[in-house]
Amino acid sequence: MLSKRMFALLSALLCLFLTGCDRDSGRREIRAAYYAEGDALFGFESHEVLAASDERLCTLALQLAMSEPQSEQLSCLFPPRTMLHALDISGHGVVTVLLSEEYSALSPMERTITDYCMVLTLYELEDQLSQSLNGVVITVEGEEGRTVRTPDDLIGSTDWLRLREHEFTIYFPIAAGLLPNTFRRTLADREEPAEAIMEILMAGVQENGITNPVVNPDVKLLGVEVHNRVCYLDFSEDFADLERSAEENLEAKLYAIVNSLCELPYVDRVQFLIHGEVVESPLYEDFDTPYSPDEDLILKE
Amino acid sequence: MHSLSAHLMLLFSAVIVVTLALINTYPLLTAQDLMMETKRSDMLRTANLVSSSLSGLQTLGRDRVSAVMTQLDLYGEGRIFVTDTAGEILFDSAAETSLLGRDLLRRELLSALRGQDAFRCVYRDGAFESSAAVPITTRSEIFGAVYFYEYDAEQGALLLSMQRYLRYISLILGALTLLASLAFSTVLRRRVHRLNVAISEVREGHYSHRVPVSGRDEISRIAEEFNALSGRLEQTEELRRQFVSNASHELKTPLASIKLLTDSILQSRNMEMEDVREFLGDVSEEIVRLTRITDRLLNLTRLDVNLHREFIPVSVSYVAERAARMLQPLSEHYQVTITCEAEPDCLVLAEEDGMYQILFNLVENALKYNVPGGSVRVLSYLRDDKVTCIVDDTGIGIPEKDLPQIFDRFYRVDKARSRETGGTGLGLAIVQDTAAQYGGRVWAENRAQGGTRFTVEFPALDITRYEFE
Repeated sequence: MLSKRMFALLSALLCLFLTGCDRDSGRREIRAAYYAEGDALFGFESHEVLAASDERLCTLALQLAMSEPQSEQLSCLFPPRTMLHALDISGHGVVTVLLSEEYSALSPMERTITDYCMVLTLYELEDQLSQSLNGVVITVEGEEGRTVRTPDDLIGSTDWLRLREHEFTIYFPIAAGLLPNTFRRTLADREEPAEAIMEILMAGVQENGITNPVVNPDVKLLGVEVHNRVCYLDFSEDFADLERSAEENLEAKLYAIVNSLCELPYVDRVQFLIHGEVVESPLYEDFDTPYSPDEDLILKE
Repeated sequence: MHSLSAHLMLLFSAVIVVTLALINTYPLLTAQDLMMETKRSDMLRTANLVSSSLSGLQTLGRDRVSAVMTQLDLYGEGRIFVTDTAGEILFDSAAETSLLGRDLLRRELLSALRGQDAFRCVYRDGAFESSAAVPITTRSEIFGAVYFYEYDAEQGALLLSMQRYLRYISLILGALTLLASLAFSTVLRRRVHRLNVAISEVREGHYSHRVPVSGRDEISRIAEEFNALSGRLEQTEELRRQFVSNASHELKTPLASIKLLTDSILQSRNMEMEDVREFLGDVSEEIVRLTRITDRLLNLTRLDVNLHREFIPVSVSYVAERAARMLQPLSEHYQVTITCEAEPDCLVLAEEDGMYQILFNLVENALKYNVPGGSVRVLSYLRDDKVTCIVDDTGIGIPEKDLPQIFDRFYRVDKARSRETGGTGLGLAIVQDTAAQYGGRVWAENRAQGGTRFTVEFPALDITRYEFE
C-alpha cells in the first residue's frame, strides 16, 4: 500500500507529465497549510515546485497540503487516499475543487480544519496568481451540497474576539465649517477604527443642520488601510468624478473625512485613491498628495 | 574590598536583594494563580450553565439558540459563542460586532467537541485573556459547544498596580536598608578603628591610652578587656620601673661604700694596717650584702618568670623546726629565745626549699627586729583543710601605717636599723610571692602584748588523694 506522501508525489509527477512542461515555467514557492499541535491551529511548510499555469500551481499546492508534512509538529487530517479530482479557477477568482468521496469520512470539525488548510494554502499563492482570489468552493464526490469559504470566515485569533469600546470625534460639514460630534463604537481588536469612522461618515447623522451623508451613496469605499501614519482611502471613480462638482460644500466634505481620520493617534494624513491609484482630480486641489487636517475649519462650541 | 564594613554591606545588600526579589515575585505569582483559578471556576460554571440550558434542544439552530440565550440573561465582561459540531458560530453574545456564520477554530473548542471541558488563561500585556469551552450533549452525544471568552483588563490592572506598589515599597525598603547598613558598618568600622589605634598606641609604649567604652556588645567587652590589659601593662611597667629604680639604688649604695672604702685605702699612703683591715672588713661586709641582694633579686626574678616547677608534699612542721634550728646561732647573738610548736601532718603541696625560704625569712626578721631577752615562737597546725604557720615575736613591732606596705619590694620601715642588720628590703616580698606560688597567703599584725605576728596559711594537702609517682 502506497503511503499518502508517495501517492501525492506520483500524482504531482503524473500531472506534470500529462499537462506537459512549458518551456516558460519557472520555480514557484508553495506554503502548504497543515494542522498544528501548538498554540496556533495551523502551521505552514514551504516547497518549491515547477508550474506553468495558475491551475497547475494550485493543484500542486493542494496535493502537498493533502500529504504528510515533514515537521513532527504538524499533521495532515485528510483521510488516506483522498484525491483531488478537479480544480478550476473562474474569471472572478473563485477556486472550485472536487474531492474524492473519502473526504466525507471526516468529522464535522476535522472537515472544517481541512477545508481551511486548503483555503489558506490557496490564498498563500495569491501574490503569484494572475488574479485575486474570491473564495474557495469545496465539493465532494457523492455529496449534494458545497461549501464556500474564505480566510475571513475563519475566526482563529482572539483579535476577533477581544472587544474594546472606542470613542471617536467625527466632524460633519455644515455651511459654516466642521462640527465635531462624539461617537462610541465597540470594535474587536482585529477591526480597524478607521473603517468604523468611515462607516459613520458614510452613514451620516440625521439631525437638523447636519449634512447627511458625507459621501454620496453612489460612491463605493473599496478599502481602508493605514501605513506609516498615512490612511489610504480607496474609492470608486465616482468619488472624484466631475459630475459631483454640483454638490455643495465639496471641500468641507473632504476635510470632514480628513480631520475625522486624523483624530486617530496613529494617523497624520489621508491619501485618497481611485481604484487603488493615486490620481489627480478636477474636483479637488492636490488630490494626488496626502491631505493634512485643517484646524481652521473646525467650529468651536 | 577587604574591609569589614565592605563585607557587611555586601552581605546586607545580598540578603535584601534576595528578600526583595522574593517579595516581588511570590505574592504576585500567587495572586495571579488565585485570579486564574477563580476565573477558571467561574467561566466553566457559566459555560456549563449555558450548555445545560441548550442540551434540551434536539438540534441547534441560530433562532433556537438565540431564544434560549435571551432567557438566560447572563451578565459579565465575557463574550459567549455557541457553535455546531463543525465550529460554525450559531450565537454571539456581542450583537454589535456579531460573528454569526463564521467558523470558530480555537484549541479549547476542539477539546470541547471531543468531549473535554477546556480552560486556558494567559496573563499578558497587563490583562487576563481567558477562554473556556464545554460540549453541549444530549444522551451522551455531542452536538455543539459553548465557548466563553473574556478579556479582563481590570483585574490585570489590579495586578499591575499591586506589582507597582510592591516595587515602590521594595525600592524604599532597599534604600533604607542600604542606608542603615551603611550607617551600621560605618559605626562598626569606627569602633574597630579606635581599637586598632589604641593597640598601636600601647604597642608604642603609651600604656596610659584607653579606649572609650560605649554600649554592652562584644566590641564594648573587647574594649573593656583591652582597657584592663592596658591597665595591667601600665601597672606592670610602673612596678618594673620602680623595681629597676629601687634595685639600682640598692645596688648603688653598697657599691658606693665599697668605692669609698677602697679609694680611702688607695689614697692613703701611710695607713695603718689595723685601719686597712678595718676598711677591708667593711668592704667585705658590703660585698656580702651586695651578694645577698643579688641572690634575692634572682629569686624574685625566678618567681616572676614562674618557670614550671614540680611541687611535692612538704611538711611545714619539719621545715619550721629546721629553720629554727639553723637560726639558733643568730638567736644566741641577739639573745632571743626561739621556741617551735609544730603539729605533725601539716602537709602542703610545695617546694621544700621555697617553704624553708619563707619560714627562714620570717624567723630571721623576728630575731632581727626583737629586743635582747625577747622570744620568737613558731607555731604550725592543721585546721579546716588549711595549714597555718604563725611566727610571733616580742620585738619592736610595726607602725600601723606601714603594715600594708611591708611586703612591697625594698620597702623598709626603719632603713637605718635594716642596714645595721644587713637587710635588703626584699625578704618579705619573697615570702609573699613564694607563699602565693603554693596557693597560700601571708599577713602581719601587731600583737596586743607587743611585738608582731606573721601568719602564713596554705591549703592543706589531702595525702589520701595524692598520687605518688
